[in-house]
Amino acid sequence: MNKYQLKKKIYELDFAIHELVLYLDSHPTSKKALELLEEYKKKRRDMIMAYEEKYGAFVMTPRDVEKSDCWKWLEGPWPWENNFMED
Amino acid sequence: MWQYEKKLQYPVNIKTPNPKYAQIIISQYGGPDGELGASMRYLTQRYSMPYNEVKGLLTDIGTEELAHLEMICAMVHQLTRNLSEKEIKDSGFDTYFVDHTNAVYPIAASSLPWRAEYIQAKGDILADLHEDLAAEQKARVTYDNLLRLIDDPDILDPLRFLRQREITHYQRFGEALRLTTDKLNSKNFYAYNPGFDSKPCNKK
Repeated sequence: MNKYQLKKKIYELDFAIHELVLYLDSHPTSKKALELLEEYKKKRRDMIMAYEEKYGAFVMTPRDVEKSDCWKWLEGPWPWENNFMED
Repeated sequence: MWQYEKKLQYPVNIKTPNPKYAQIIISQYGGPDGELGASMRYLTQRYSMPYNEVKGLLTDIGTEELAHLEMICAMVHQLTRNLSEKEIKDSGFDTYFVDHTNAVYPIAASSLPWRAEYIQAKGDILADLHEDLAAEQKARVTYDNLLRLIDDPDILDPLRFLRQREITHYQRFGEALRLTTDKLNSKNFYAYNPGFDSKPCNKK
């Protein structure tokens, strides 16, 4: 998978995880939803690892910024600056 | 607390600026049925909710709405970049430009700024959940109207995503309403307010 494909996959998994979270709020004992959530969380961890091996931090939150001489959190592009297809 | 993730919930990549479209899409930021109101409504209603399922749902949907207003703002931003003075005047964007330049400010398409009166927190779970169900439908209709008026596929794609979220949220709030009516005392559930009264008719 190239950078764009990996990124797309992580976005999809984030969406699926969020959907399961909302579903579990109103179906807190759904065994199937709880299992799927675990499966997607694991897949997401694997995808993030695959991404970070090749392309460096999949910068998500200030906590995830790699150690460096300067504060990389500030590096653009920011999410509203249509950057999804780039790089 | 909240933690920011440096990504949009769904990508917004608009190639062609169009200030005319920006002026109608901005309603889903600061308009009467927009995403800012949605987020504030749900996050505000949480504190008086008696049931954990509903506290959780309002927290998680209220948080998602913040991601939606960020997507709407990204759309408005990308639609109003690099405009010439002529484009600003010819599109009718000049009346917005004079007050906000190309900043993204929460107003309705009709130019009315966002107002707290768009939302309610009544402290009554049935009243609040019915408001939330109505709000999701009103936001869905607003997206339907935008989809009718716009023909750029770069804009339609994220708008369709957002429209679909209104339907999913409506479904989840409907389940919250069902859970609530199951839990309330069936003889009293319209007669007392479970957010305030611990038992029905406890006023001496």
